[in-house]
Amino acid sequence: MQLVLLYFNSVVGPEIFFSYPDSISDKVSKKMLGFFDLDMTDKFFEVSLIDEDLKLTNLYFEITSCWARGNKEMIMLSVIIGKDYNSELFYDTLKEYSYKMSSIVNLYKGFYTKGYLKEKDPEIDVKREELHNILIECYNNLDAKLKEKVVDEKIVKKFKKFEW
Amino acid sequence: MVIIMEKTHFFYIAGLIIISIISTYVLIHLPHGVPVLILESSFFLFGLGFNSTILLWTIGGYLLLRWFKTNRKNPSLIIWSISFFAYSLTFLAHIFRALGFPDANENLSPLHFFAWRWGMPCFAAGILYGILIILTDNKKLQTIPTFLTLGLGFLWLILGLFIIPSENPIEVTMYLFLHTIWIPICFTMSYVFAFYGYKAKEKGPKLVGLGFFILMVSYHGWAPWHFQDVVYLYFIWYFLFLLSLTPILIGFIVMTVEESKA
Repeated sequence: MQLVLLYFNSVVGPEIFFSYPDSISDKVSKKMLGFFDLDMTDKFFEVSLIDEDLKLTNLYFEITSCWARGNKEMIMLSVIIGKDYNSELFYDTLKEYSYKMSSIVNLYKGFYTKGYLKEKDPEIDVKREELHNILIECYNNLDAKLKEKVVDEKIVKKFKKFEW
Repeated sequence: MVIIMEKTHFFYIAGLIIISIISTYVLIHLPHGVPVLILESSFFLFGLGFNSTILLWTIGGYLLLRWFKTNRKNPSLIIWSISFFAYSLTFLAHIFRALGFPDANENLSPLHFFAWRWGMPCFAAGILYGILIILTDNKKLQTIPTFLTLGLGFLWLILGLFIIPSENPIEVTMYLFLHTIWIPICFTMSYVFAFYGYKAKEKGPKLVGLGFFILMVSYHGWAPWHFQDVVYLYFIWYFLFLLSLTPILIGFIVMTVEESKA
């Protein structure tokens, strides 16, 4: 399982900001950026990547920003996992962390790297670290949920392999 | 119209006629039942043994039926079926003992006890093997605990009944057997079924789990209340044991129903 955060960089367009625990392949990365560009009505959606045998579970949301165009940062939090898993398993956790991110004052500054116009703002590094910590925590929660689900499914599958 | 109705409900009408004849006879003659003196002081043992045997056979029979109906592909069903039938031997003894057959009295001698109780280690090993087949594909993990249970079960019976010197060899045997094999295995069955039921959100396995839990509790009372001065309380535990078989039977039936609905 991988957790990925994409955001809309006002200079270069959609960009992968965070990927944990590993970086994602270029092929998957390009596809994800394409999905970010889609004008989705639903905030929560899933995409199956047949060739890669993967499923992407995505939550699109926005946080207020003083620096972004339109005063909002467009963000997509995605879980990459094997195609057999039920994406609804992750919905609550993704939603919970989207609220968390929205509730932190000036978190948007974390998206702005050095070399950007506001590079002298001392909060950039602080917010970046805060954002990073939230995402790691989110990943750990998702991972724990997944492990619990795997154990649950194990016992059910063992019984269900027989007819009763 | 009346004729058509009579044909459709022939058995109901025939039943009513038979009931009317019996009731008329009873109300006119007020008959006094024929005594069965042999049951005068053992009716409770007869009743408990009879009900237990019927329930154990029903569970065993149902599992056997399901084994056939599911094209003999679920080995746990046939193993558990045989186990329940083997277990019923003990309760058959109670019926015959209550009916006055001296050799059916398992308390007559350690040998008699062994003869009517060997089904219990077989049952313990059988139900354990059935659940291990489900839980693991590893043949060693399936067979080693099963044979250990079977071997230890018989070892306790032989040691307790024939080798360890004691004034109450039967009680010593049952203390050893129940508290080292029987109760832990019943708890294992209870936990596995309840856990599966909880995770699968199904009621059938939860009921089976509940049944095995009550079965386990009832056997906690076996040895301590089997002594002559407190033996009347042993029958309360026996009633509880009898109660435990009902959720096991219903649970297995509900498992089938829930599977067909899914």
